Amino acid sequence: MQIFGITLTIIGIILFINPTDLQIKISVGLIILGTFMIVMTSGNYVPKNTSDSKIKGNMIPIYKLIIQLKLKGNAVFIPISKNLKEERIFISPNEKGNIKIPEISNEKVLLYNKKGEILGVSLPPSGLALLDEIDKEKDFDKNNLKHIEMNLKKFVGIDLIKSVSLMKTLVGYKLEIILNNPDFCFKNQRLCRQYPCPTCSAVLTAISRSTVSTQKRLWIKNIQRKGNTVVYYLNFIDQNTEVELDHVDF
Amino acid sequence: MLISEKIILFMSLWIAFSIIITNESQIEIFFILILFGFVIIKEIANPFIIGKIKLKLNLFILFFLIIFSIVIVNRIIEYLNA
Repeated sequence: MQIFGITLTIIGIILFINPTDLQIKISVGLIILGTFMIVMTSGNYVPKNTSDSKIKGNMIPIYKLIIQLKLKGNAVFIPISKNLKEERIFISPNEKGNIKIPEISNEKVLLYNKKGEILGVSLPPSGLALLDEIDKEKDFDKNNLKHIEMNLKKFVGIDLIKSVSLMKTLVGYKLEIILNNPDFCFKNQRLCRQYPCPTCSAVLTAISRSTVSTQKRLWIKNIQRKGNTVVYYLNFIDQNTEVELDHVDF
Repeated sequence: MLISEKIILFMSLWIAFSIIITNESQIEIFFILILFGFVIIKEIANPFIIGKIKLKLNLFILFFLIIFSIVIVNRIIEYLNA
């Protein structure tokens, strides 16, 4: 695209020699368009397969940790609070029954009770850095869920996803993401529920960030995957409530 | 297609359209139409664009706003001299 821009600029400059009225406009138009192309497409880009490999290398150890600790619970997104400087994902050991979310702080990753039994893990979401890059103007902090869909369009703009929609259902929220060439995605629904890939994680963290004032915690109830489409069934849970995973209706 | 490519495509069509409709007119109108094109695409693409793309578009708008101001000032001087 840059070469095309340079070519247009050169043609524009050549047309400027002994021009007619129409040629002036054409040459100015070509110079503007060529410069615009060069400016808009300038920047350093990493090939997709290279960036995918880099992300994959970071995700595999976390998946291995989840499997090693035999954690079966779904991800709960913990918003920023007095004790927490950045969002976290809490994964509990049990999939069914009462899940108590323990006190989560910046330092702790592995959470144990006094008996030494594991209560879960608290990890930074894989999409946190991506969201911080997209949300430099801190738009998600300012908005509640009413305006979230407008802000989520930013993810479509950077070509990570084709479309995103958040709908309220009778029992919670339904988030539908159509991914754009998800080469990296492991396509493992269990892992998507427990520790979503950076793209999905950034969207989910953005939703969680939008409710930071209410201190609600975003919980992935279930997930459905078909091709490039990922549907998350979400719920907001209060800070001090225990989650009943046994009684989930879809 | 990347968002920046879509913006470039829109501007290519807009510039071609501007050349056609300002065929008989002065070049000032052509510059003003290009400014309108940048403003329109900025408004349409605003929810989808972030960071550097937004900054680059704003720079182009600023550049053409300066040209627009020069055109206006020039016209006022011409009118006052006449």
